[in-house]
Amino acid sequence: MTASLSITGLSKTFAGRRVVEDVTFTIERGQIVGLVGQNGCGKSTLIKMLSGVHAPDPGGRLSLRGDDVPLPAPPGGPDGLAFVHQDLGLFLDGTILENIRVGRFTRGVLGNIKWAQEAEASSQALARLGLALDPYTKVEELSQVDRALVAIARAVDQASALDSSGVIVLDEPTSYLPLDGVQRLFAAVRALAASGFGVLFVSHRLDEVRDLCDEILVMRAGKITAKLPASSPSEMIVTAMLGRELSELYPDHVEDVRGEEVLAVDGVSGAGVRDVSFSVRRGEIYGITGLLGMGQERILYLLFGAEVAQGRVTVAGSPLDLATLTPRAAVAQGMALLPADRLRQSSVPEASVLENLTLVTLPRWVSRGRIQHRRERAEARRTIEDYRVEPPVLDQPMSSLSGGNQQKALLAKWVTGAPEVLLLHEPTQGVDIGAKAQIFARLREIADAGTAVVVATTEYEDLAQICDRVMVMREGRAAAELAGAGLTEDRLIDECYRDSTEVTK
Amino acid sequence: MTTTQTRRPRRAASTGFFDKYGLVVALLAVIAIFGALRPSTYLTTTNLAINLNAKAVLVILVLSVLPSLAAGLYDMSIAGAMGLSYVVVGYLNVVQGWPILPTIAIALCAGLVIGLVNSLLIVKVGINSLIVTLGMGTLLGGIALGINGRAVSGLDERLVSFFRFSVGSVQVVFVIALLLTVVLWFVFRHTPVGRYIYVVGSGAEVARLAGLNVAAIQTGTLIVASLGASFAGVALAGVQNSVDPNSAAKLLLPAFAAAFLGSTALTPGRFNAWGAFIAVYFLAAGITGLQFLGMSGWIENVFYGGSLVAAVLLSYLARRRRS
Repeated sequence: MTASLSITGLSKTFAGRRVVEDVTFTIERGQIVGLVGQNGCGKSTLIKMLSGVHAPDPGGRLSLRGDDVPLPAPPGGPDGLAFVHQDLGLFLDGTILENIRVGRFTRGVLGNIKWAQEAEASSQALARLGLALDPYTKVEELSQVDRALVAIARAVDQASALDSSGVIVLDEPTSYLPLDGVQRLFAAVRALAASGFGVLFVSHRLDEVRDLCDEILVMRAGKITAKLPASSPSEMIVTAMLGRELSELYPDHVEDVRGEEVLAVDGVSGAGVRDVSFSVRRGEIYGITGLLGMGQERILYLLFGAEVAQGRVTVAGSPLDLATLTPRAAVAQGMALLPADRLRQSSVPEASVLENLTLVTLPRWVSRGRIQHRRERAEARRTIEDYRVEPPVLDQPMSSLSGGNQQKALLAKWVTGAPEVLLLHEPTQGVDIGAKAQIFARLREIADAGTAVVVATTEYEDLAQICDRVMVMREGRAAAELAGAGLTEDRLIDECYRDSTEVTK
Repeated sequence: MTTTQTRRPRRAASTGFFDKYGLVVALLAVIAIFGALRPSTYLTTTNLAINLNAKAVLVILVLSVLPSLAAGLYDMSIAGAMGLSYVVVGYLNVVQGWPILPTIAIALCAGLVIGLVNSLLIVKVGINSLIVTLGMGTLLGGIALGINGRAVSGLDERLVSFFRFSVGSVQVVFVIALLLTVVLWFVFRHTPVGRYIYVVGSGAEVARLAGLNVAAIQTGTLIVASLGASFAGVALAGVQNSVDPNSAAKLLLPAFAAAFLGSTALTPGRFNAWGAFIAVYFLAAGITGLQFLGMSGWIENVFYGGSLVAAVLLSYLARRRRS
């Protein structure tokens, strides 16, 4: 029997740097193969070569069911190979049928769509996943899991264009799914494989990969470094991903506390976050991390009252009920939040640097109802020089600055308000290395000056370097807290990738 | 983004002279051209004064809608609100014989209520402002016709003589428009509320996360729009000494044309008071000039409509060039 998908010697070089090197593997009919690796290991580039986004270096081969596919692959991927990406790419106000079949509608003599045939084709694709959804249901009425399943059904329909089986690539399809939804999705994927499809499953969640796949490919530095049976323990997979043994588990050691507790979080729950408690002392930098979808990317917004949440936070002695907290009240209580989405949440790109910089502190420069422009500008100028914003302009639109300089200015925007608690989400995302160092130095200064700093990020190395303590979240819960000598990049990665089943809480 | 008051050298020419003063130059050019073509009729102080007075109500209407536009909301019901108050003044004062002060109070209250209903639907419920106010404007126009569909004249002498009172060669209504322009300029330029309105307009989520009361700011601008439009309706009744229920609706497009055209001047990319003021008179100067050349009737719609499209195109091009 010929393999579903066979890749031989596939490589990709960007500007003289080999990001994918000589990748060779096969997926048999009915086989589910997992692909894991750290960020930047070359996974995405590999997928993008298959889907025709990047042209591979000459010399590689790709074949589907024994037939060679000419490279580079056509945009969207060759016939018989289809993709489901993390964002699913569905149009929500369309029906299931329209989503599955758009672009491949069967037409009658008048150019009319033959809806009965279309409904039949959609139902067939759904049936292969063991689903009996009405093809005329609107996608926006579906649960998150059903939407993911519809996206898979569309891929199945695409991939079976030639004959009744093909290969589908699932790229982090479970990131936004609740736990019970993941099991439904897996059941559908298993049904699909049993009907003869090959599946490549890309995920950060090792427990899921081990649960679903027959075989696991580990990628590191552009190469497939290991092919492991799915039964391998996750430590072995992590070791292959890191390319070295995990460091010895250091004993936890809490550093001497520097000041009184200024932020106490008590049982916060909300979208993707379940009953998380922690506290931060004055002068501390506290990190929060976890894989995508584990809650670390939402928790700061819950604490700030920006999203619906339950639980309590106490800021400098004042208890706040998260059910009723608004960002306005949070700011009034001395909280500050620097969101990750610079374009929509943290800066006004078309407003001037000055207006962004003094948005929070503007009332200080108001006397008898009037903005004291000269004082405002003088202080703003001192601030951007102090924060080394380059170029040090006040009247240019914010969007004219580079990402790193915008971030420095936005940090200054909040810090000049002298917050008790400073929350930062991915503060160094899209920031060049020089600005990154300056931002870290500044965070330490801010903490030393008495502010409790909380950083949520997936940059493990940064966390290990700058934080006093780091909480690792899994499945929305606080799964571990590392501190002192026990706080290392390796330990963070180990905790992040550890099976969620081991969470005892 | 020209909140500059210091003597520091201006930044590189991202907003040059013509970006800022192009509209002023265009206004002067239009006056010069028509003045040269029709020196004895166009370029006279009488014509100037007539135009300043005649468009003062439009200035008041434009200024009313500017804060809501700056806050990112479209209030298409301003002409409806203006028309309703205008008709109410004629109906209560002339038909029902009410004294003028309670009449004005009722007319302004109508504006307040319209603003509150608009903000309830737009800010509280969260419906698209364009759609809500488009419906609201038509609804108000219908109510106005229902109250009194016929033209009335002969309003209270005091109302008429107040708005028509001469200050030099212009009327009080123009002085009011000028004062309101100064007030709105001051609010936008020198008060935190003005700054916040712009921030809400270009980044409501950023404003919310910075602790601003976005709902209060949006509600405030919508109430200013309806209340200001109602005041414009009262002023129109006073200036005309009559009420023609069909005339207010015609001011909707000129108001938006002037607001958008004005946003391409002085502080390009931002709705601003003096820009809108100049834009009203630029449009008036152009239309009057063309009328002096013998074109009438159709030319107003062509000029106002064309200017709105041109203004939006200009600001789009300017924004693309800046970024």
